[in-house]
Amino acid sequence: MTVKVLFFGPAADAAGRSELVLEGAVDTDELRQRLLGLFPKLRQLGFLMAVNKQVVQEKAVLGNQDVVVLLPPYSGG
Amino acid sequence: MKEKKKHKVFMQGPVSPAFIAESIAKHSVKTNIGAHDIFLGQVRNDVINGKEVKAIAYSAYEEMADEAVYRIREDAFEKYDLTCMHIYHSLGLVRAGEISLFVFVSSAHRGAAFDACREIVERIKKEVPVWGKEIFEDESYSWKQNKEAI
Repeated sequence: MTVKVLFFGPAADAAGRSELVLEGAVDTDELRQRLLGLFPKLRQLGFLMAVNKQVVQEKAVLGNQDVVVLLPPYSGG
Repeated sequence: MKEKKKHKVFMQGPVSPAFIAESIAKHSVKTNIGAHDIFLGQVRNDVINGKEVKAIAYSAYEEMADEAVYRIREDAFEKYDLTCMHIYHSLGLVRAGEISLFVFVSSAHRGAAFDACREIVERIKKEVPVWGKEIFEDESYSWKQNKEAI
């Protein structure tokens, strides 16, 4: 099972990339831990995650080919 | 009749004063309008740790941002008696003094236009996945942080 992770704004900066394909992440909590392990700079950032464009506030189960987006606090306007 | 046609929200670079003027002019044919309220967000030359912001580079998760703006629009049309509404936000580089957000709300009477415009701007800042990178004179940068309305 693979998920695609997209990084925007300060999250892309912290991860040094805009995209990553990961295998075997079962849910968003586990994915978050793996991402924090891979990219320690994300720890200082604070971010929500969206799965297939829906913001998830609590742990969400991931499916194959899901697109997960890291959303640091917005700063538009 | 309410105008609910969708247009592209995000535009590359600043919103030009000419574009804003033209948008206003286009409404002269809509004679049922009695009030327009316009919000213009301008890039400010904040000084952060002794360095002055010379521009903001905006990026967005556009697919989700378009949906978020659409939701805000629909909610505002539902809640307020509006004639029409236009929302434009910049992407890419906008220099200090240039416009990065243009919200244009029209109604028969001023109350709805005032109330809706403020609510739309506040919701854009909270709910639309856009990020601003503040670029200083020496090309270093920091990520913009939005504050509550003050």
